[in-house]
Amino acid sequence: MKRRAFDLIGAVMLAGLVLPNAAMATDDSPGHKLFLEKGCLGCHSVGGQGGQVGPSLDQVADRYTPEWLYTWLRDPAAVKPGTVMPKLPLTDEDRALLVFYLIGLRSDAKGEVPVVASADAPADAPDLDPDSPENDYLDLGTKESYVGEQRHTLQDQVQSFIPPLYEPAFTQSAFVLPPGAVRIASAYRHVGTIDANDVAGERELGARVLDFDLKRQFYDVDLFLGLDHNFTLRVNVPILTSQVDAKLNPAFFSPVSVFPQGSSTDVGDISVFLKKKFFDQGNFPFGLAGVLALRLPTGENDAKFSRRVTATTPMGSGLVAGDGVFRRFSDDGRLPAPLQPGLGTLGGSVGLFTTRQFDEHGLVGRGALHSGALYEVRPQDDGIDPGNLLTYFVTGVKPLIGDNLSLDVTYLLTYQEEDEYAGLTGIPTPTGPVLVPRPSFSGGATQFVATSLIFTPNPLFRFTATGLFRIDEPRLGGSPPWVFRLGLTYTFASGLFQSGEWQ
Amino acid sequence: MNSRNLVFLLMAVAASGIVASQASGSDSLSWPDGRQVRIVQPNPQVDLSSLRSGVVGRVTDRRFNTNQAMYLANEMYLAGTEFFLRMSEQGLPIGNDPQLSFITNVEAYWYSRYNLVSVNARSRMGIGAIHGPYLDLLAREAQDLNRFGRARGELSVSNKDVMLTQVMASYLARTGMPEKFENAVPVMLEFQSGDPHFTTSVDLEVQSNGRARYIDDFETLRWSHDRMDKTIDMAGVGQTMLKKVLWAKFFLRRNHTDEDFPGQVFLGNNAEDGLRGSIMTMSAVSTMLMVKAGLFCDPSDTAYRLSWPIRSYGLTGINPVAYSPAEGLRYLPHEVRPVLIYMNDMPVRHYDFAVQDATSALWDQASWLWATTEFFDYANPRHQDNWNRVFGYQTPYDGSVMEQKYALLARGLANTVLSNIEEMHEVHGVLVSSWTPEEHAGDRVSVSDLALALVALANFVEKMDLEPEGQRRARELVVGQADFLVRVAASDASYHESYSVPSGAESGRRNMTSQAFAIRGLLAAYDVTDDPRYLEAAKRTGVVWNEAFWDEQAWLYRNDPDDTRVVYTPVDVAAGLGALRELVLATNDPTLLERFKRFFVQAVDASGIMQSEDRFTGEDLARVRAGNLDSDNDGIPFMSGGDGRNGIDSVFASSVEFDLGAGGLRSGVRAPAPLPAPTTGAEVYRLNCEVCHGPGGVGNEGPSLINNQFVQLTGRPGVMQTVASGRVGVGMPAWENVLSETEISLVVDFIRSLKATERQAALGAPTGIDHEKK
Repeated sequence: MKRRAFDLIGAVMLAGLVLPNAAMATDDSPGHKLFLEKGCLGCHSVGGQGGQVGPSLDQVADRYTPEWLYTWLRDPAAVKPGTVMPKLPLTDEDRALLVFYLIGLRSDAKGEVPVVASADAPADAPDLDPDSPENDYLDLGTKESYVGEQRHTLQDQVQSFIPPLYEPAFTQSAFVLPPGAVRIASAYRHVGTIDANDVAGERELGARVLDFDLKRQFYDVDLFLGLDHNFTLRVNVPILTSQVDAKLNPAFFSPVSVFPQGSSTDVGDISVFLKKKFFDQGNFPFGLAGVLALRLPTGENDAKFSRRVTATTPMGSGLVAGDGVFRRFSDDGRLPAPLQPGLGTLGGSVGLFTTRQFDEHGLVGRGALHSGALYEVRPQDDGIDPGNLLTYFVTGVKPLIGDNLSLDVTYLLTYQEEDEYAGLTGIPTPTGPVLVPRPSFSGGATQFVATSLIFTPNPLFRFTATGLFRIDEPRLGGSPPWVFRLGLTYTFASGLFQSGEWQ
Repeated sequence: MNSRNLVFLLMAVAASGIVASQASGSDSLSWPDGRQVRIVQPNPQVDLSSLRSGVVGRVTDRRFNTNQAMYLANEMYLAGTEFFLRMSEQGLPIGNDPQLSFITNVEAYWYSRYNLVSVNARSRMGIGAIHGPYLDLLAREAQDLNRFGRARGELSVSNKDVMLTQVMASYLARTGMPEKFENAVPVMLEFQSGDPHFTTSVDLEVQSNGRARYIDDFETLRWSHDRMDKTIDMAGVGQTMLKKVLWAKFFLRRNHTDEDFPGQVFLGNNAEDGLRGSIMTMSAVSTMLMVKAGLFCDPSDTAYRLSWPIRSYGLTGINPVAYSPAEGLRYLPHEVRPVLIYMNDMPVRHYDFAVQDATSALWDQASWLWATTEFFDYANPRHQDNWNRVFGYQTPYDGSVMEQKYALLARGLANTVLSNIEEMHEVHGVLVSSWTPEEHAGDRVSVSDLALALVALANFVEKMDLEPEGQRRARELVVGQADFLVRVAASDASYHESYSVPSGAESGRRNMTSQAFAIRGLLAAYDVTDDPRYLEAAKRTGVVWNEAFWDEQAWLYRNDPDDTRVVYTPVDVAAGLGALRELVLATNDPTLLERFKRFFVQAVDASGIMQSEDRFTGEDLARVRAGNLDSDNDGIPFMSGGDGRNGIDSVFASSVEFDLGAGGLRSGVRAPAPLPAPTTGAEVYRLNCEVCHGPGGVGNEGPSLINNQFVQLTGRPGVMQTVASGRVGVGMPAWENVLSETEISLVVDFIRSLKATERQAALGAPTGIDHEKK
């Protein structure tokens, strides 16, 4: 009974090394075949069978580490000059298979009590020969900077220690990915129905629109790459689906239904982000990172309402409602800028993010507080200026259950400059259309609060579920009263840049 | 049975006695099956009021300065149990002096140890050893093989995995500890300074094992990461490494056994010491490897680096065995700035380093020379000592905890630093305090730098026995520096702060610390050269120091004889303790020993420089919980009762001051009531023997005396003889010059009365197996 705890420790100790399945030692294992093929039994014995020239190998792996055996097999004389054991023609893989076989003979693998050596001083002669292969470590850092080289090995540690739980669910942070790490993220946003009257802007028009439902769903695919511990590259591919379900009630006409209910899916503008970490909380009171992004004009910006929706009056007079409502913004009936998949021109943004992590002794325990601002420049194109966009957020992330579940609470503010449309439009009046400058479609500040749950079954996988709720409508234009978002993230641990040899 | 075997028998009995006689509950750790392993015991406070002048100090800077505090911790360690044992070997009158015993064996020992444990395991004030090359190398070895195993679904191992599942498990197995301390973070590169206030309240809640949580789990003993100066200063790292090595040597100088594992010999004086010593060793190897692999300054490499837009020098690794300054100078720069990555629950990790101050400081180089020499002495396979069990050839499978090959690293680094000291700091045979890549060697040397260099060089001469050529060069330097000190002394043998090289023109103040350092340096030179001129010079300086600077009312050395304001940094206190200690040992003068006691109590206890303390120096948790935050009433509070909202860690402050003027701080002496003189054997035992043999003879550093085979079988005269003459070489001092014959007689009767309890008798313990037969 009293031995058991000790055995446990012994087993843990051995398990810290490579601990293959004990089945590897069975007779049909490749290691065993190799063991027989290479004639090891000529000199060594296993289970009482074999030669007596060399030591019995029954418990050799109790006495030596797998790494030692692996090195030994490469060139026995290099480890112990004068040994009678020859250098066998073995490939690296052969040697590994033989070591796995020998580990399988280990006493703990056979359910026996492991041998823990006594503390008697080792009898070997002192070996302080710097040229001995075991003293290779003396060259560590002399040929290649060990510190620089070590950066490439950071990913294991970062991935197993920074809980992704501290990262915000959908906002940004000052964290960067470890070098070589690749992360793929995708998210689906389901946007609540936008109020028809906000969209149509009936005040300026003098028109009233009833039951105009615009449903849009967004899919985002993101690819992240850790370049160096200071830089992360991100490519964002937005895909959006729009669906319109509308009834219109233009001035002086009876309500009309819109038909058919249009729907389309487009790839939006692909953005490339480069994030640089300026300060880490290790050196500075908080982490600080900046981002520069380029928005490529990959999404089309000439989506037309009329393409999707036509409306007829009960009398069948063939009024094209889309044109009637939206021609106010462009001569050819294009949708206003916020409803286009793309900007049609090159844009860009610049942002700053801060992150402060807390240990468990803070007011709220362990967690992180992120904040940041992103300013997006959206140049005009073809007479349409979508207006620049400023986004500001504050996010608190708080692990709730162990390292697997955390809560994210975010405040999000967006401020959009009013968009502008070139030209004049006709407003129908009883005496005939009156030409006026085209009105703005959207603009002003919108505020949301959001709560998310972040679930990470392991540090590489992450699921997020977010509900955003609007607390303040923009001055002009439509905005969804709520957004529901689902995200999935996977990080590849292996990395692209494996460390080189330092010897 | 020859005496050596007898000693080993005693040790074996001692070790088994620790386990056999321990009480259950809060003093022990439990195995899952209920078996107990005793951990280190608290000590009761001894009355030191008669050594207090009544003047108390005021802390003016509570920050922890790694270099200064660790230097004080090192000098204090040497003034602790080691000092006590050396005094007893020299026949100094140390018996029946519970105050001296308490000061050296308890306060000096523990205050020093508190500092190391705080920095190296609790504070997280530095880059964790878990990120260091030592564990990295182990992980890579495993990965080399894992390349082939990965196909079979096995993940590659990280440093953390290696640390927790391989290294820590083997330390536990080899030392007989059932469990490790939670949230202990060994540090590899310490930061320059930090604020030792705790960031949260110390968790005193009693756990199911009967102990307060903070004892087993260091989570609530962390310092604020934000309030650390994250510069890495080489002196701080070197002094801390020296501290780690000194403690590892102490912790692992003996083995112990455990009756539950017959035939097993475990490393360490006891299980806890063994585990701590193993971790210290790992931490020190990590430090050396990290510095060797990337923190040497290359003065030929200048570029815009992290310090942009200023050019800075490159950092590189060296092969310390092949290194020669002639093939390109590489040296330890004064300050390095790390670029860190903060990972919240994980020890902070480095990403890059840049040279912040490319000066080579003699103090830094001497600290490193001392630390690496000490490590080599520890790992040296040619010395037949217990440390040969710590280092092995197939770690951990041969029972060792550290690879023998790192002896070569320490030896190479010591040689490298010695060569660099000669190359950079030597001007006409005298060492100068600083060297810069732009202007090369300076023209000044401070007495403090020179003294530390002398101590380190003398240590090299004494311990680097595999380097006769290096020893010769070091000895030459020792003679050169000591001669310089003798030459520049004023006519009254006093010293100023610094001197020009080579002219010897003085500069700076003539202060107490310079005298103390000069004494320390000269006596170190005397130790290895036996040149009586140095002894004479040290004694003469000692006279000036003790006459002109000693304040007879305050029992302190004044910085300046004419200044009533006394300011001490840890270095000042360390210099004073070191000089007094070495003077006592060199002169056997009991009045100096008395002065040592007074200075210690005033400068360390009454000054406030020791900011708080733990159970081992008198605090009683039951009373602390009841609200008495200085439960032993010695003026040094328990940790949670220290300065600040949550208390402050038990480390040295950066600066304290006393006002000895008319309006100065004087207070009533706070200390427990005086104790009666010893009249019984038990009392003699408690005052003289308990420190080593434990309360009631349960054993501690020394063997257990309960049911001790030697004591019981040898008979009264044999035991009397042993107490009187001591046991040479194993730390049992001779007591004949210390205790009267009556007292020895009383204590022997007491020892002989220590029999096993019925329970132990039923278990048949202890066995006294001689594991040490060769």
